[in-house]
Amino acid sequence: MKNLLLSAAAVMTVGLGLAGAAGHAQAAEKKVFALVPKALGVPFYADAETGCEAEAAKIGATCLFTGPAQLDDAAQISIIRDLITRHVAGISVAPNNPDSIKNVIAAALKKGIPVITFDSDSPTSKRIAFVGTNNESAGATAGEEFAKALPNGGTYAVLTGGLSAQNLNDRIAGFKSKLGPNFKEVTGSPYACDDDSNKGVQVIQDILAKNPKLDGIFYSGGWPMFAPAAYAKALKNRAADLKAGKFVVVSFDTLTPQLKLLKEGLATVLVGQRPYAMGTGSIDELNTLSNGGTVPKITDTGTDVVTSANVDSFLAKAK
Amino acid sequence: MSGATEDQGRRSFVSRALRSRETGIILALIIMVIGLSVFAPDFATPDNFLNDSRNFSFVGIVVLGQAMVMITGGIDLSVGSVWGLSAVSSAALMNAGMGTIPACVLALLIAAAFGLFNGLCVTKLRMPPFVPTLATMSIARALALVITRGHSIDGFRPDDSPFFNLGGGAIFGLPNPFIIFVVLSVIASLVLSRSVYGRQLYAVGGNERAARLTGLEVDRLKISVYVISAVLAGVAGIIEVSYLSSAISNQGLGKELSVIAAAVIGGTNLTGGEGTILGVFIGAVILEVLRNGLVLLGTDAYWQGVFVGSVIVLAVFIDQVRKGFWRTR
Repeated sequence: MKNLLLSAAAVMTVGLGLAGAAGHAQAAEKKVFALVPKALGVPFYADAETGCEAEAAKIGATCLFTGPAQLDDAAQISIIRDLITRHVAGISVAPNNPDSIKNVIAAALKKGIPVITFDSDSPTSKRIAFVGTNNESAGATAGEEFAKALPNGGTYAVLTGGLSAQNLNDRIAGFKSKLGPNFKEVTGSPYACDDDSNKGVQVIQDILAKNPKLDGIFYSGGWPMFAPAAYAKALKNRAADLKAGKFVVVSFDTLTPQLKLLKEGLATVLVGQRPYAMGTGSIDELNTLSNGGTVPKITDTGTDVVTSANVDSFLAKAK
Repeated sequence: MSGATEDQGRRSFVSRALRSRETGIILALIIMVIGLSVFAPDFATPDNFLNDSRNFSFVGIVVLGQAMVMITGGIDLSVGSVWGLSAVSSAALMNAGMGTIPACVLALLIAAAFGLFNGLCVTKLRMPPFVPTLATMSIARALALVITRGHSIDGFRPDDSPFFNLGGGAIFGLPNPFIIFVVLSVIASLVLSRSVYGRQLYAVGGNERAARLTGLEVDRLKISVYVISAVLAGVAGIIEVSYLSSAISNQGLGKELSVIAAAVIGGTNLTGGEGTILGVFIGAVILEVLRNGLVLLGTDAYWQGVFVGSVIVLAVFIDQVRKGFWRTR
């Protein structure tokens, strides 16, 4: 019986060892930079991981992509503490909570490990730099496209995720800054859908029922379009106007379902963040920092603007 | 061992240790620690052990209550949500101007109310424990969302407030959550192994009919363990708020599964009557050492759940071997 116990435990240890040996053998010489997303299994962060790995390969380093299984501050902090213990050469993190992350960032810097943030920032922490979307200027890009599509102005509504989300409010402020005096926002706008696709579609139905002559809608995130069939149904009455350019839809994000909807004519312009650039930018900045260099405090990774003219190239990349 | 001679005492200790249910998992933990020290040079450092000891304490505190529930033959699925609810309610109450201690006590009373509800449903309404605790898992999580409306609660105390020492501070270099966990474990262990109440819990889980026939107040015993489990989940939540200096509604999300996993790894029987505090303590440690070890080894993040699951099966397998499962078959 004791033999069985021993062998079982041995199997367990060997398994652990093998799991690590592969990673460790490569890491012996190369610098390891860690990219810590808010949670695993989010397509946005998977794109950042791809960028991180490509750039790390280019400079002869290793990208270690690891994060909590769920959106969980405490688990994210534990992982960063482990990365400090592992003496990685640098950490780039998308904090789940800008406040609770502060202590662990300070702890890493104290051990001489440079820490930057990507995608979401923690401006009051000691993080050295932030790589991500400048939401206000991205919103301004969306506003320019909206104004271009409606040269004579008109009435419009805004759909957003949560009314107090700072990043979304920045996008809306940027968006409005580019609209001239001919534009009029309907009463009740912005409408919140709590980051929920289904609710986003319902809100669109409500907006269109209440304002049948609306000239355009701006979504500060792609939620309603993540439910393409329901979304298409909600826009049924205005689909012809939309295709004729008499009704305008500008949305944030450029996920595959959104690209397909745009190709079908159910959106006018998509403005997307660049998670891939956040991955490559994180590695570049951490590499510079670990070599003793300096980096700008804030790096705007910019936006992609997708219209019917270039949607095919984005769809090809999405595969 | 007070009555025995020293020699007898030592021998019986050794033979007891060899037959003890915890020997297998302690051995497994030791082998894991040695293996990790060899393969991950950063593992066996004081800093890392201190980090680990803080990390496993949150789940560990909750496992103590879960073990008591499982010993009576029940299960408490609501612990993760009650953890989250008392976390955000303590922060919200402090934010509303209440003193630190009243706010924490009130948050724990809210947790206790959930435990009482679970216990009453299981005993007076004869519901299988899975049902009311599944319901309160949903209710408590929703109430946490109602309180926060999805936002985080920050700045409810100044940065230098002593409240943040509860989870973030240390005494003699040992993290406070770890000290709290050890103290609570010692108390729980004494209660379970030495007190009449503790023996009665094993009797209820071992054979509820017999326990009832011998005149034990089975209902009251069962209600008490659900209350204890909920209060300990609340304690973990409040300590976590103190550690994070911020509260959000999804704290403790999915932690009921880690808690049950730690209890099962620790040799607690899901059908009742068996389980020790030493066992579940080691169970909580193994889960954290495994998580920490996989990160230090640089294991692919997507694969890590596979290892955790394998260890759960392996631990129960070892326990079956110990019990001589195959000989009786």
